[in-house]
Amino acid sequence: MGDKLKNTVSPALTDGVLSWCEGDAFRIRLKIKLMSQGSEVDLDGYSAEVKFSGADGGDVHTFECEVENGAVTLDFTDGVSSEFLPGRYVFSVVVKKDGERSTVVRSSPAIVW
Amino acid sequence: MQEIEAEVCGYITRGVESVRMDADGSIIFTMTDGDEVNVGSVGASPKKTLVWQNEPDTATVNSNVAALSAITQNPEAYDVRIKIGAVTVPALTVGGKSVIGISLMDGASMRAYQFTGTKVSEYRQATWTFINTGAFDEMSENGASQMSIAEYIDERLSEVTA
Repeated sequence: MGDKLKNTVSPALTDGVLSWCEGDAFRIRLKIKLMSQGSEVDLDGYSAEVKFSGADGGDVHTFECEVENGAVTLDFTDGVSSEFLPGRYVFSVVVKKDGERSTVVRSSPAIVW
Repeated sequence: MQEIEAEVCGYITRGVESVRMDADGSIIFTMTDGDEVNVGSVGASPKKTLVWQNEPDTATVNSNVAALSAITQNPEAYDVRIKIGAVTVPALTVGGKSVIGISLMDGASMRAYQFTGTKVSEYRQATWTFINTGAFDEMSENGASQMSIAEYIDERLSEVTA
């Protein structure tokens, strides 16, 4: 998987895998769609927790942000990016409101090359 | 600074608010919408085996067919989970077949497995399939054997049903 993703642009989304080159600074805007009982949930007033973990399960970085217009923006600044060494990661997206948490994505893959 | 955009999608069906065991050994889940669902009873070896009841109860847990369809297409995104201690067991029924996925929270790591069978109670004999993202095939190397997964489930269930 890692070899397949090398020599591509950074950052990139390839086959559902978020990847970027080590040290790159970038932003990713995640549009969040949450379905409940067949209808889309209005995420107005929700906050989001986007947690990146290493392949060993250890936490690497967590973004806490507000959902705005159904999306969150993850700002991989130089400082944030420096926390990610080349390797495989997973990330989860949890939206929160009034004490309730809903997992939107669990263990979605990411690769730093 | 480059910026890219992606869309992520999740699905919510009703979840489990709480769990209790009745005097007859039945395990009752109170759902978040207020329903109560009898999902099983403890058999002759209450500290070892959770005996699930037949299809109707499982189907009751998952009454939203549309959401269920979406879940089976995207198992990592499901939120139908029956939480028992550190083990979460989503109980699904599709087309008359039971599909159980189980996430084993082992410290900070999570491994998800799934099997398809005709009865939920067949989990011990079923073939379990590692269902976490294909990009992490090597994680399956850490997966236990089929029986040890069942034993793990038994062990975890025994802790909460003892």
